[in-house]
Amino acid sequence: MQDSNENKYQLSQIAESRQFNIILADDDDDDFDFFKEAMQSFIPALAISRAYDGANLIKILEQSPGSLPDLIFLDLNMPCRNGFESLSVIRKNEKWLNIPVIIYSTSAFPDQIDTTYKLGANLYIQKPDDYNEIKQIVKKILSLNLHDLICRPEKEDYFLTLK
Amino acid sequence: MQQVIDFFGGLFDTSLWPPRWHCGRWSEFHGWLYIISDLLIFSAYFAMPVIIVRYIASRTHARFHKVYFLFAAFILACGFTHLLDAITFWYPVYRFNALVRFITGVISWTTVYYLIKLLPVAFSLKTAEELEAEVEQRKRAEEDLHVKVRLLNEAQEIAKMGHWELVPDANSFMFSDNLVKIYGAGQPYISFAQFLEHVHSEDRNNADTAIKQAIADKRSIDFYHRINTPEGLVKTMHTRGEIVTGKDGGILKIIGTAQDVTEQKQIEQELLIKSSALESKNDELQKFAYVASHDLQEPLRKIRTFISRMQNPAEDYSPEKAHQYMEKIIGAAARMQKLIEDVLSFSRISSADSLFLFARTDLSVVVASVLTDMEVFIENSKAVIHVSQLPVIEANDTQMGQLFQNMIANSIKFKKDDADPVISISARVIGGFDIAAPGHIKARYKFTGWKENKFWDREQFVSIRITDNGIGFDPQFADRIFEAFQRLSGMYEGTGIGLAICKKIVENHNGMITVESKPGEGTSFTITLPVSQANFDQNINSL
Repeated sequence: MQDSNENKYQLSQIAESRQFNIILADDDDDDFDFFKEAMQSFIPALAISRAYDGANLIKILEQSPGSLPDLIFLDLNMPCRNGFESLSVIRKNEKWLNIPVIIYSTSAFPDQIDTTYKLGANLYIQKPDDYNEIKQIVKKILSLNLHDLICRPEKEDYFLTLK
Repeated sequence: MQQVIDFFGGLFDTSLWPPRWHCGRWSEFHGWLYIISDLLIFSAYFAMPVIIVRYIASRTHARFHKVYFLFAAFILACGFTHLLDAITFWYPVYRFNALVRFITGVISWTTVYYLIKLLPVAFSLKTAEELEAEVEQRKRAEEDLHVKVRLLNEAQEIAKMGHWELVPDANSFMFSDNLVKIYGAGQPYISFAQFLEHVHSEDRNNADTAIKQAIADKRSIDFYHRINTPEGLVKTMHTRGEIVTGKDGGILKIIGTAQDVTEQKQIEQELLIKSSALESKNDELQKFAYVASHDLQEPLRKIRTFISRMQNPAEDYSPEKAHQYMEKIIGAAARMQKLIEDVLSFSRISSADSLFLFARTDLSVVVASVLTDMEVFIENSKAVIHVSQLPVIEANDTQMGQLFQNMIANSIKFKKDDADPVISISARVIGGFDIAAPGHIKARYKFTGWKENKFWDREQFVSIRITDNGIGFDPQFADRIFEAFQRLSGMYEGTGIGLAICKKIVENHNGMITVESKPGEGTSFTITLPVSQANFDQNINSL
């Protein structure tokens, strides 16, 4: 997955060219704010909605079959349904099968990475502690090719870092 | 030949010889001495066989009958020769005399013949002394045997085991004394059907099949089964047996042992319970460590992120924004502190305080003092709390206070936005049989080895119900709300430890806590606690 500014499938280009919906499932208000601000610092018009936990995410997906998000960011440690449970529910539903899911968690233990990869997540990123790093990782995601993301990267490229 | 005919023809003929008195010259003295001596001999020889015959008649078991009779006949015959000698002084029946002597001779030699024949046997017969010694020896052997039987019985009693014999053809069991005692069978001989009646109904088929299959396959028997004793006890037996076959290969009998392994089984069971309790405790700890590390890191991470924003020269923020960030940082630090306090109180409940003391505790008093402590909080929340009469139970009053405080705080926290909280606390005393799924409580109950829950059903429990009119929750998360750090909603502040502490306290008291709820329809907790702790083993948390 190389950066390619000419690529018409690049996330940032798609997001600027049409209505692009991102949803972040995170129980933490501040984390949501950081993420949203970081995203919108690159694409101010980007629509970012929020699910308060896993159960809430599923409920939102169920209630809006006509306007499904283009991309889901998923925290792992949440009340009610956690990220793992939500992920497996999403991947079991045919209608939601092709929505790319990016894990967005504070922790990145190998077993968490393995499990989420097996459950069908498309990418794994770790929440940085530093706001500048949040911006950098968001920037990196926006430079990705949506097509590549949907097709899922190889296991080696699944855990995306700033390096 | 003519002589023989003449002889027998005139057997009693006396004409050919003079009477003995006239044969030769007998003085009176000589003649009578001869006659009287002969008669004395005859009478003696007559008396002797009579005595012998009477002796034999009284000894039906005496050996060598024939010889005794021969002796009697021999003596009698000798006697008659003397009688005839005396008679010939007047009546010279010499022919008859000769015949009697001949018969006497024949009887004498017959006797000699039999004597020779019997000599070896007769010599081998034991003398009275020898017999006495032998009797003495046998007595000692018998005593030895008695001692050994007693030792065997004692050994069986100590080992709580016994031996048995089953003769399949006769369809009968023979139990050793101690096995009779263990089974409470009443008698050592019982039929196979009676044996099966002693076996616990759930194990009856197994026992029946195990024995019949072993007989069919000529294999040894080795299986465990429970029995019901007449006193109502349930015992676990380990029954083993070997088939004894005859020369033709047919089964003669089965001999075996049976051991009362109730205690071992109980210990095994307890170990299983304890190890599964340890496993789940370990599991809990792992989860706790994982979630604790996550939740404890959250505020720290938050503080770092806010500081990174404030440090960033590129960031363009107003003094209001700076103030807002500072507030967030202070909030995160406070949250961190609260988390650490809760983790500490949770771990105190589950470890160090496991050696806490139980005492008679009036729950009404406990709740009243909790309500006083929470007065301001309750007033601010406009909560109405109804408390009915609560019983006195054996408990730790500090922990009970903590329990009710957490429960009330929980109900108030999850109140509906549009309704003031109404909480009611009530209790009733129930029996063990009223508890639908006693699970881990019953596992620590001391008298589980009794048929039909004899004691358990009568054990008293108090069932406390705490009902609120709050937001409720989806019942599928009913178990999760008692796990530490598990929150059902991201919209409420809290560390997620309150209900975990409640569960720990209830488990410390050998009780259980369950919850019923529906979203929007309030929540109802049921806490079941034993009235007395006396019949419970130490609780899981003090393992």
